[in-house]
Amino acid sequence: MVLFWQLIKERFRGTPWSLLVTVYLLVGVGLFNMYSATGADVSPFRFNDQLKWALVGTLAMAFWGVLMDLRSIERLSFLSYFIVCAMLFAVDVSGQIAKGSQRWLSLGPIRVQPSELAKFVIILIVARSFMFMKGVHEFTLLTLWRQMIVVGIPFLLVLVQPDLGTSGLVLLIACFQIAFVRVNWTSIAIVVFTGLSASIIAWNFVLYDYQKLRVLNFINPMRDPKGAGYHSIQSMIAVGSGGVWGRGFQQGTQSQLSFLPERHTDFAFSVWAEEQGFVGCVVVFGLYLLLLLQIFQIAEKARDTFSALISLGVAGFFLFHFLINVTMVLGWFPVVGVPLSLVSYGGSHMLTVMSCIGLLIAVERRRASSST
Amino acid sequence: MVDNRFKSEVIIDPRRIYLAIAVFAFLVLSLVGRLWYLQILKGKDFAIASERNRVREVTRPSPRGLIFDRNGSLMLSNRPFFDLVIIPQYLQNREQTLKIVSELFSIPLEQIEKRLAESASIPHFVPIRIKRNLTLHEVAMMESNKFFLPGVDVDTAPRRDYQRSDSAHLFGYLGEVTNRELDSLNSVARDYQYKVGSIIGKMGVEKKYENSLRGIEGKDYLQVDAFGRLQSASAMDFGLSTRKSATRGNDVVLTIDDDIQRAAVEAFRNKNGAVVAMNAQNGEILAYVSHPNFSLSMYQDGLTGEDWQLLQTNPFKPLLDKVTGGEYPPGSVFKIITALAALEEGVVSPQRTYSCNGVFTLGNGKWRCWKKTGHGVVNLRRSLEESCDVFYYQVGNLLGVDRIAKWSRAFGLGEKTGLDLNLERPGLVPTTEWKLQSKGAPWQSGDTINVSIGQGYNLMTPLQIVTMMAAVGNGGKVYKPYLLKKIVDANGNVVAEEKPVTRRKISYKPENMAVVRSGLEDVVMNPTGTGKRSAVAGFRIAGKTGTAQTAALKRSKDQDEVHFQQRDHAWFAAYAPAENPEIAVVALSEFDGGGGGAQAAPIVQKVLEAYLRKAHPEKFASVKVTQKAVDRKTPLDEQRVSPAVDVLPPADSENGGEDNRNDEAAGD
Repeated sequence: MVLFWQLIKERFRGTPWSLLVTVYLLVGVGLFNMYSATGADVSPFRFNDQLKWALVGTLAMAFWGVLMDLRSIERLSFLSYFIVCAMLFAVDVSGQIAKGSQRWLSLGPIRVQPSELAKFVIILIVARSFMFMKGVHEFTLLTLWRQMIVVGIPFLLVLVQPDLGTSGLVLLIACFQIAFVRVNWTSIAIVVFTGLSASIIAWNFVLYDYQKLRVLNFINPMRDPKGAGYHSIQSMIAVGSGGVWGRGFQQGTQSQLSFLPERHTDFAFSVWAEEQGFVGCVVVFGLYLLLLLQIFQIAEKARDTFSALISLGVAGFFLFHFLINVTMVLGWFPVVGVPLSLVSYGGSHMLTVMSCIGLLIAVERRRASSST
Repeated sequence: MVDNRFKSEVIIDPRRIYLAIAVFAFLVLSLVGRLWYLQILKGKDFAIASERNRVREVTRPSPRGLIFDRNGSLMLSNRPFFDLVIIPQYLQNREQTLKIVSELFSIPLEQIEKRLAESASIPHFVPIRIKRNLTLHEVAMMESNKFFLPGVDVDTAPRRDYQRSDSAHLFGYLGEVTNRELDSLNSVARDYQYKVGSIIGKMGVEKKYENSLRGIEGKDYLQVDAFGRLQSASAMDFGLSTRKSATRGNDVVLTIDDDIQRAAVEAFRNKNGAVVAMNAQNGEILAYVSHPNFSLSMYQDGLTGEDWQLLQTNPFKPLLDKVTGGEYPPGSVFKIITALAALEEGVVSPQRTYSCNGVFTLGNGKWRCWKKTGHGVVNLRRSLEESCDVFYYQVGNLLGVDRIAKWSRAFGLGEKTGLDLNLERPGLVPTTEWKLQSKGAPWQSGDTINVSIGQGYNLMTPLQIVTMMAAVGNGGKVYKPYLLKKIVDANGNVVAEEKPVTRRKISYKPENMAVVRSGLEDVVMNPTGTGKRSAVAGFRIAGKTGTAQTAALKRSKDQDEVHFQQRDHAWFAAYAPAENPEIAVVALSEFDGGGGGAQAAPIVQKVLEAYLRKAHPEKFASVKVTQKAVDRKTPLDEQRVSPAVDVLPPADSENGGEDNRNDEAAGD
């Protein structure tokens, strides 16, 4: 019996408990908010759903973090990468057959969104690709060809679904990871410069007027308050009317009267802002800042490249979802389908997020075991 | 325990991590700044915006496009309908308000409560329809009491104005999209998304041209106060309290000529079956009638379960479009094919005669001619005119079924015509191979005998017969029938047009077809012709009668005593003018009990008259006077002939009518 407990203790050695506290505080915020946003409906199934997914997510986290260790994760990274790429391909093909955009893949009774899983495997595969790199040599665009291929394939597969938002996120997360390796600043400058000049050329010589109008409406939704801007404006009204202390649990008229679109998924944070006000928002921002600091700290303390890059990938994952979702809710960014991790409704996303946390646990456990 | 794979040195630049933390912290700080701006600096304004200006996005259904006939006269339009709606969340004194509504509009209180309970699962603040199609009086009553009845309102929606009640199968009914339709429609249409509750065309023209007719729904951005009452624009309104008005769908101009359509409907009033008229020179459908008709407005107002049951179980199958979907034995109309095939295959010459003594014997089987006393000596031309069965038994036996099938196919029988309306059926052209495969039995020569007069396994739709008839008249061109003249958008631009398509060009010797065509002319023009009751004075018309048996009767019976589903189908197919046909018409009166000449020819006559009066007014006027003399020369044709039996029955004293009747006798 004592031996059993010792084994358990050994298994959990190095688990970053403080990180988990932050994570579950955010999950709690999400559930509380979900109950407020949709619980008043006749069927509060979304709350129950989300609760279920939080539990399933915890199991996934335990799977990657406690059941596996970093060595087996590393060995699985290629396999999982190929499986997810195959799933993405299958989704593209079935989308072609159905003549419409397709994001879901039915695997027996469950339906998964392979593009969500792509975010997870991209973290693994990029980290894996730098694993045996040595020395203090600088990387240039030419020496990064492996990474370009490995990132390019899932990126394109998601892009043609078409899912611009998720493919952009996949690319951003990968670039974020790579940027921490000693890529020389010239290469970074070249990438940024090429991107900028390409868009300037496209704007002046390639795009038609109506296409420009679409881009302008995308960048500034206020140009078209009845069309593209409608959701942005409704969200801003929701956030603004929250004031300092908010309107209280289930008291937000914007969300309760369903002016807010997608109030349980992409606009979950507007509901929070309306009902919990400035104070509530600052609490969530604080939690997110804390979460990111904890993740960056794990990355900094990492004793090998694989661990460090995994942690940075997870950091990028949270960082970009947070920034894009919140700027969208606050009317600074066009409406794109990017959820607020841990808070928004969505099974596939919750599964991916918790799996990422599982990776961090695995990283910390490895460090603890190798330090003895 | 230590794994060498992880022994590599860390190639991460820690300074970049610190930089990332700094940048992120800065971004979070600026987001806090944005929050400060929105929630604290502008918080009051937004609170007012939220409180006072509850802008609601309300979808407005788009009026469907109008439907015109070829001459631009309106066939189907829209008008606003008023519905009484309740938004439960806005009800103030629920009990009392519902009671007042119940009394004002004489709706039982329980019914209102039931509607509200049924709709409990729909999103909040969505109007629930309590009563459809309010009268203007009721609307006025509601408007004047509106202030005292928060939560109760009148909703306006454009709907189809079914002023005319005919031609339901042509126009088709509308209905709410089902979940299955939703998936298939939305996966194809990228530019338009249907929603639950969207109204779509489910049949006929409404379905076929759904994409053009549906239009684009509008959005109202309404500012309502806490009680759901409309507010005028106020301080912070973001330009939202406006509307994106709905765009009416494109108008559809059909090839139908409403004058001919109405004439066909009128002439076919008490019959079941189909009437279809087509331009013989290009395939434009001019009239399209399937009976029994059903009520389109009943569908629009929401069919009750009982009504639906009745429509489903009605033995006359009102929901079936019999023009494209009704498959019938063609009866003697089919002799046109047998005749041409016999001439073309060299089985008979135009001069060859057979003697008809009223019966044909093959092996142990005996087949009777509809005229029991026989037609005497008959050549091909006369065999058509008087529809002599024995002649075709002889000829068909020489031809064999596969050569008959070859010529049937040449006229486009046995395949869909391509009109693509209302579940079109292909019919059936039997062959030896077909019987072996589907029935597992070898073809019998008796089967051929039946097929040669259009009985037996033959199945054809009225639309196939009309295209066949047009091909006989127009020199062998089998057209794809079509209904669309053009689609016109709101600015009057023609968006789409349909052009004639020749599906098949039949090659035959012109002199052979000339014999057949003169025989068909005799059918109508000669006093002894079976189809003379379709004659329109002043015009040469060609046609062919058909009386198709639906069941092999064991004993000679008067048709009135037979269960209606075993009565004969009456056919008449014609084209006019016979020299150079402009129009082909087919009438099929199913389970009529009467012969084609007596029952179907007069219907075709009325349709032809409507057309010719319009197309050749001068010619029509000049001969009108003499018409009465030609009409109704022989009183005998009113009489009916009893059907025959499998073996020779005793001579029937009633016999002698000129109605043609095809006798199918199971010879084996």
